Amino acid sequence: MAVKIRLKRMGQKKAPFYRIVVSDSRSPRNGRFIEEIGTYDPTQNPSAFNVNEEAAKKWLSTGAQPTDTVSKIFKHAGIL
Amino acid sequence: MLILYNFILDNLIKIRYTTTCKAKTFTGGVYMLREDSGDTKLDEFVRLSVLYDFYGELLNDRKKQIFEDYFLNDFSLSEIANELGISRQGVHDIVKRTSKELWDYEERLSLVKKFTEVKEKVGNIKKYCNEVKKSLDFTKIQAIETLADDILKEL
Repeated sequence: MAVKIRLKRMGQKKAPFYRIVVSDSRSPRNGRFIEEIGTYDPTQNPSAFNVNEEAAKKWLSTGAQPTDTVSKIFKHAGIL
Repeated sequence: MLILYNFILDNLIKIRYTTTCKAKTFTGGVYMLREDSGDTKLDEFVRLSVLYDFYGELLNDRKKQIFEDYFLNDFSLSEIANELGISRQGVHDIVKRTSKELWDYEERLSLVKKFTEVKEKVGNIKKYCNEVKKSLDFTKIQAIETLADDILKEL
């Protein structure tokens, strides 16, 4: 069972806001996820990254695969 | 109870990270979001999802579905391809073509650009109003009027 760390778009129309969530790769897009480990708010200036570092490291060490976008955010947050 | 306590503790440890900002203009002169994460790919990702908010309804159902999976749910090309039973390359093509279509709409209609400009100006009006309220310095009213005129002209 592959576990993925993805972004999930929240927020209203025209006001993007993302959650960083851990979810099973096969779970459908209906919103079920295992854990929320952070947020990304690009509307603020500068954009605000909010990452639960401990949880992120825990998931990465157990083999969860971050998507390209999430690994970029982790890089900005200094986790990867 | 203990789990709840740990959860709260975990959340308290969350650290807030910010990156340096710099203003920037983009393809087609669209100046969409004020921020810049310093990472053009990440910015592009956010930008396309905003374009989709504005023009998404103009796309056909298949494009919409693929675009939503890719940009709003952050699925990978191969995941989408597997699910739809088409090739990864096929999904990539559709994502590229759809992005181009959205940028085309923006180039012709500039709804996002107008929206961003008006939003910024209204924000400034609010800021000036607060200043006037605090300081009772009514010379700022002139600036508010100019901004309001600008907005009316744009509409």
